[in-house]
Amino acid sequence: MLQQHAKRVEGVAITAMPYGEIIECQTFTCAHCQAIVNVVPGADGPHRQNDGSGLCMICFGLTCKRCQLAQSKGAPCTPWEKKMEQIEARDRALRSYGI
Amino acid sequence: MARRFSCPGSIAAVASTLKTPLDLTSTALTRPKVYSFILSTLGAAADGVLEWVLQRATAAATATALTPRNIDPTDPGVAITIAHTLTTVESASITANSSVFDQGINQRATYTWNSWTEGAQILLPATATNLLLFGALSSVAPAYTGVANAQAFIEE
Repeated sequence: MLQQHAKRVEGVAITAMPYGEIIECQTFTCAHCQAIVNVVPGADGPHRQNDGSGLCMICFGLTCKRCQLAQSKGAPCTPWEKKMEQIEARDRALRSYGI
Repeated sequence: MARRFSCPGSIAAVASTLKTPLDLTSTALTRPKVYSFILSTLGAAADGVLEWVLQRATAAATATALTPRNIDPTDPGVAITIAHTLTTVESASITANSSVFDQGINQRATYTWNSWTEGAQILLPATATNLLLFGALSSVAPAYTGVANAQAFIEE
């Protein structure tokens, strides 16, 4: 399930080592804060990544462990798109005040 | 169609405190998307470790302006996104808990990240007060003090 969701926001991290070794790792981008998270191979459930990241059951976006932990402590689901709108609205308001 | 640009940044001497080879600043006109970046070093080979951090800030550092280069040379467009490199005074306005990437990487290694799907890119809001900083530090012996490069690829 997690890997299926990861397909929507998938990236790849490639580490090239000096003797030609190539290490590739699938990543996903946190829906709440845009953190780049390495996908744990074989993770198959919303909370099965051993590092604490997982699936937000409200926006159905994959989230990093920091956002998962914040939500488990009561933080609301705030997708990055919504946060950007808030940042831009604040910026427009400040500019309209001449600040 | 989105226009794509390359922003190669560099810092002359990595230190035990965070140095910023590259920062990207949006404007009110666009939401730039970082769809790929490459982190590397240019120093003599050794086994130092660099901690690379990508994080957001609300004010720019003191740095040299960098013109994002068109990836498609036939595209006459000029990037709206503003980029800086060769930082001399680090930003004092880093947003707490905003790192989107924080990883230790051996100085011999070259790290590349690519977003494969739409939605995986790192987005900057359309405002001049939200930057993305590419920073590096080396605090563990053998510390690395040479040149570090961060190259970001953006579309807008």
